[in-house]
Amino acid sequence: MRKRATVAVVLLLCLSFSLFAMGNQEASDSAPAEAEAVPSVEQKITFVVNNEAEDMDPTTSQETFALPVINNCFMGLFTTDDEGAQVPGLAESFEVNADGTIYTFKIRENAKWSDGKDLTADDFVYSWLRVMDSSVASQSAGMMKPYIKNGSKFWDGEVTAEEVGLKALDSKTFEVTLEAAAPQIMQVFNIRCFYPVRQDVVEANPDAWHRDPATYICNGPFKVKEMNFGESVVLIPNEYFWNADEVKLEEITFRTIPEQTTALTAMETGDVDGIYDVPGAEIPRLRIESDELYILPSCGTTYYLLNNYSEGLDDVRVRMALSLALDRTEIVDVIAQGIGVPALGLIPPGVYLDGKDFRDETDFAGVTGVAQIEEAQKLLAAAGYPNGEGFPELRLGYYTNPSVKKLVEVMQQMWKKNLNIDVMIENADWQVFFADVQNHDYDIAAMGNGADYSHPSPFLETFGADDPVHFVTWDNTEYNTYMEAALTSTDEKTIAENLHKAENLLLEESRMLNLYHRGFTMMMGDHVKNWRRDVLNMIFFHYAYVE
Amino acid sequence: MLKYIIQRLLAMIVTLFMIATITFFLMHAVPGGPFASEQKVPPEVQKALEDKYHLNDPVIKQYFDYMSGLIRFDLGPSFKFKGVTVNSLIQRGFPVSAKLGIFSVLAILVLGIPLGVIAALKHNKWQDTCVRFTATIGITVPSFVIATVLLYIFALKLRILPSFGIETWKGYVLPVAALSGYSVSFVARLTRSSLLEVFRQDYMRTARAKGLGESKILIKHGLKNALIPIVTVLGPLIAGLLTGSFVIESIFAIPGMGGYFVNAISNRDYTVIMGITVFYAAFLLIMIFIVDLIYGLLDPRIKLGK
Repeated sequence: MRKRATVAVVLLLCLSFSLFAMGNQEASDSAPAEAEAVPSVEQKITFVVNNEAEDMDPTTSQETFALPVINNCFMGLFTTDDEGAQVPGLAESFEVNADGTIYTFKIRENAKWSDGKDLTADDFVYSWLRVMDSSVASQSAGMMKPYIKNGSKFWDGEVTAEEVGLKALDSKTFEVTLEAAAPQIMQVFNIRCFYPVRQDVVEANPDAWHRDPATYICNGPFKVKEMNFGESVVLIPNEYFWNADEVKLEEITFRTIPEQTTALTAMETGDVDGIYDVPGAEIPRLRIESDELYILPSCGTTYYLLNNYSEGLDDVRVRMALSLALDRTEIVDVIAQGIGVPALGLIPPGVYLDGKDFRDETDFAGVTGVAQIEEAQKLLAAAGYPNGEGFPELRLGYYTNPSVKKLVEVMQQMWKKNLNIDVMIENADWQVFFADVQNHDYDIAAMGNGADYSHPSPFLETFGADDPVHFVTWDNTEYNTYMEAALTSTDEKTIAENLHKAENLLLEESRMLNLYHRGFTMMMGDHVKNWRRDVLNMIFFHYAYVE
Repeated sequence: MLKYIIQRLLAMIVTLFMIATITFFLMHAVPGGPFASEQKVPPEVQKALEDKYHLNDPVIKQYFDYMSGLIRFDLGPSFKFKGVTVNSLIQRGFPVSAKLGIFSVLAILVLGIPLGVIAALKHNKWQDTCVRFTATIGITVPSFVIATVLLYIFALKLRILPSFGIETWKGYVLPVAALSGYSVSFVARLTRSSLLEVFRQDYMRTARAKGLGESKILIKHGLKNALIPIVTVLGPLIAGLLTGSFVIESIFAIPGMGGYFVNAISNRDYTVIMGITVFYAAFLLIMIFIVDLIYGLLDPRIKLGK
């Protein structure tokens, strides 16, 4: 069907071209016909998302489904280019003082809000204070307040807003004072809670300003034309965007289709131009049949927590045996449909530090892509459980989700077959499961990390003493020392060295079962060009167009 | 009659109150809360969120706060969807679900009942076999299977109907077919068996003996009496159809009410669980009340208000 449609389109194009050529004999020789044909294509696309957004206010939102709207309607001090490199966004330039604690941003003269008002340094001060105001209860507060001078004290009500390290030196100069130099701060500035929002609209309706196109005043390439709850959000270009001349799409519709198979049907019938996710079972077929399937890397790792207080798991040999007995390649092929790569360490590939891919420098402590059964059996025997005899029955906890279910079943089988040990699978709702993990009521628990910014620290902090959530049952002074040395330094080399030491320690001690680095699957029609989805799951249509 | 109606309305309010109370405490007894985010949220931020939504108040205080809102028809804000009230969720979702539901109810009336009548009239003939066969499939095959098969055939292969949404009349065809499949089949079978039962009654023989025409016998004596069990099931069936189906709405991406209830429970979105439960319960009670009123019209022996 698709082929026939393509043939028809080609024929039609040929026909129109020949008609065009007949009418304009002279013109057809000189001008390339294609270049002239491009603008005539309707610059409208429909992209399917799977859920209604929970919160479209950049200062409070933390979930995935708001990202398509927020990423295309708002911008922060920085943005990313086609290669994903950080480039100036609303700030045209910035300076840092010698010890890396004061950042001074020059905001673009032509930076404006979507209603034409000037975007100033005061807007940044207001928005960032909003994130750190405990009465607002922004879920993103934890990603901002530790970095900004007096941020945490402001949250606790100990200091006034004036004492927080945010200052508008003049209408276009914004000065940020940090609590201490932070090596990851440039990446952190890209997180959406650092995007500015408009004081007057927010204050007029603090909880619901982001649910009405009329009050959804933004500053990015697009603005909202329609919001139909549970159905769609329609974007149109923001004529006041500082780089509005480069924006080509005239309309983007984000259509909510909860059922992935329906979304795929809509894609295959050509009713929509792209879909956010693809049903796992269809991936093998689509890999062969479709050239519109995209498998993209994600800055995320799926790993399982091991409880240090559980019998057996307090022995490094047992933990290592469990890890080595898993065939990570099979896990990726069978469970993740070949999406992602086996995780030999914790940090996914593509995270750069000191000019190098962090992944390339890691010592994987003997873990490889395939199971090392003999080695695992030896370790288990050395720990006092030869051939799995006398091994306590551990609980393998996971949350209700079909693909996670498949994964835990495969792990259970691998351990039974390779080590002759039994684990008991326990299932719960995410809400219940998460509470159990926080209370350390687990032996082995499904977990993972999708990073908010591209840096090793958010992954490694989970296992450190300072992690606010602290669902890890491990407190290692050596590890904490490395982490502190890294995160208080301004020298990239020192930072990288110490973070490597920390990760290596984690892997040597086999403190978690690192399984695979995640990937995204999605589809986008060939006619849509110049869009981008980065490893942080941000999808950009800023300068996209239809061909 | 007026006294009866007032009595019933008062009883309904008491029932609703009890349903709301039981749901409220059951819901709070389920472990887990609405703000277990997938992202890492520090405990103090978690607490600020819970404070904002008064989740740290004693449960009994939360209960009275909720009930006093309920009396004023204020169902509160959704915990999950920021900036959205439960009232607006229902205001937006219910008309969409109801529209789909009305078409399904029409399908029951123009397909289900007539098919049942045909089957009963042609008892044990090929027409009867056909209806019984189709109805059995309609009852046994779950709606999501019907929906998926329909989508595959009409949207993906034949491409004559859209794959999602109800923006055009064409969009209604598949969801209504999938949604009403079960109800139409069920009502057809019920009509058939009920009518067959009625045919055996003495009054039918009397009617024939009096020399009445076949169509008059069927409608006035047959169908009217056969309708009582059908009306009984139609009440709850219609309430169910009008308030939306989770499966169908999610498969066809219809922004109705069906999805909210199921999702709200797994999200622990307390106010949405409460709001939808109370709304659905009220709707069901009204439908049952209407059914009772119709009984009186169908069968004069049933006296209301005794």
